Amino acid sequence: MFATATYITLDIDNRTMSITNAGHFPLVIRNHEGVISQHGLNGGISQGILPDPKYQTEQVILNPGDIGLLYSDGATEAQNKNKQQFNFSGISYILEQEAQISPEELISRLQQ
Amino acid sequence: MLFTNFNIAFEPFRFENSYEYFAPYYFKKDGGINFTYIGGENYKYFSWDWYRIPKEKKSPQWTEPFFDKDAGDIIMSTYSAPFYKETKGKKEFLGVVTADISLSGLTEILASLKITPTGFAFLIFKNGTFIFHPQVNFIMNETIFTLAKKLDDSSLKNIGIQMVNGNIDALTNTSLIPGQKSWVFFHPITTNGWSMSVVIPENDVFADMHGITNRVTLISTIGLVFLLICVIWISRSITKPIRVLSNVTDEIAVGNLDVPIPAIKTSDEIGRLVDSYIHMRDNMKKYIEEVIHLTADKERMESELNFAAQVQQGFLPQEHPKYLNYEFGAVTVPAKFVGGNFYDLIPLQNGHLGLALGDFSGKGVSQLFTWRNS
Repeated sequence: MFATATYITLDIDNRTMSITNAGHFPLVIRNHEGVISQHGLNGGISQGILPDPKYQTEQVILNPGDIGLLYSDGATEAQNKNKQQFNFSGISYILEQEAQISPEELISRLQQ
Repeated sequence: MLFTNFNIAFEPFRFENSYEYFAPYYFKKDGGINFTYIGGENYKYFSWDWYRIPKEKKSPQWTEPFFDKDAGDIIMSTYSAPFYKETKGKKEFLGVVTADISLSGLTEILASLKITPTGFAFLIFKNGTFIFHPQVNFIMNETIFTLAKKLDDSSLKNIGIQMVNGNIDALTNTSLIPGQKSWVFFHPITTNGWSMSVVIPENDVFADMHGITNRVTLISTIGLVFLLICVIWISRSITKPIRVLSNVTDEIAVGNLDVPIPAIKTSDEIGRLVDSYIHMRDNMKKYIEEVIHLTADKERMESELNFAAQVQQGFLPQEHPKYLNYEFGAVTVPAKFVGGNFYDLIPLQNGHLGLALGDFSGKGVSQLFTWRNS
């Protein structure tokens, strides 16, 4: 049994994030200009495989209007009626389309 | 056969010079024998057939039969034979000897001929006249040819021709015994040129055979009917349990598994079928009970899983912490009852917030606590 996980500590006032990724999908950030970037790509291996795993931490600075998104395989492997998977391209497409959107609205869009 | 009258008729002046006619005649009358001389100016016997024909043919002859009224209307036939005087090796015709013969004895014999129940015999003279026929009015009144004409039967005419010609044969005929095919056997009486015939209906000939045929047919029919009854009885006894099983099947088909199955303890296929049926019905009952049991188990498990899902949902943050300039949104949609994804928002010291997202391999209940405990 193993698990993938992403843990982020957010410094509320300095808008700084420390990302630690254990075999999970990277954090997706759409900045205020609509550019999509992924963070935590050097994520290391999943938890539960090695007895004492070591992980790297990546620092990301947020700007006003940036949107961060964490997701699991339930989002990328979701299928439409034609058995096509949503994939990361689907997620990034949604993010590019929506300029000013609240997290709740983004989630309901992604769920559709 | 009875000889009744005798006569010796001489040629003129041959018996004695003084007698032109000399013919002593003995005849039966009124129970006694009488004597007379025949011949005279009013009975010139020389020109009669009974005298003339044997003389000319130089051989004995039978005359055509006739009724003799004096002897009591009996049929008579006259046998005439010429006689001669032989001098120095030379035959000289002297006269004719006759004997009248009653045919009543002959007809009695013929009438008594009962060859078959409806068969009969008849006798014809050489010109076809019936000398004897069971129908008495034919005798001396009809010939076989007049009868053939009356009956409009050319085959009978042919039979008459064959008989008159003295042939021996057996021919078929349908008119002598009306409505029946008969065989007519005929044979000539060579001494007098008559012909005797026996008529036998084919049915009489083949009566015994028909009897045997009828008996065989009757026995076969009874046998066949018996066989048919046996076949029906056996087939019904075979199909009866099948019909009962069919009704039972209808009941089972609509779900009535408690319908009684008739116990048929036979060692044949039907008995085995009934045994299998009872076995099948019992198994079906057992399976249905198991399904009910399993369904109850499944419902209980589902309710437990629903409870587990509620517990899991309860582990997720019910409210997101609020900070100026930040908004948070999250959702987990379990693929089954219990999902494998978890997230949390954890306010830390020094103005920090922890964001965690995890995904367990497999999506079961046991990992739930693993996560929380680790």
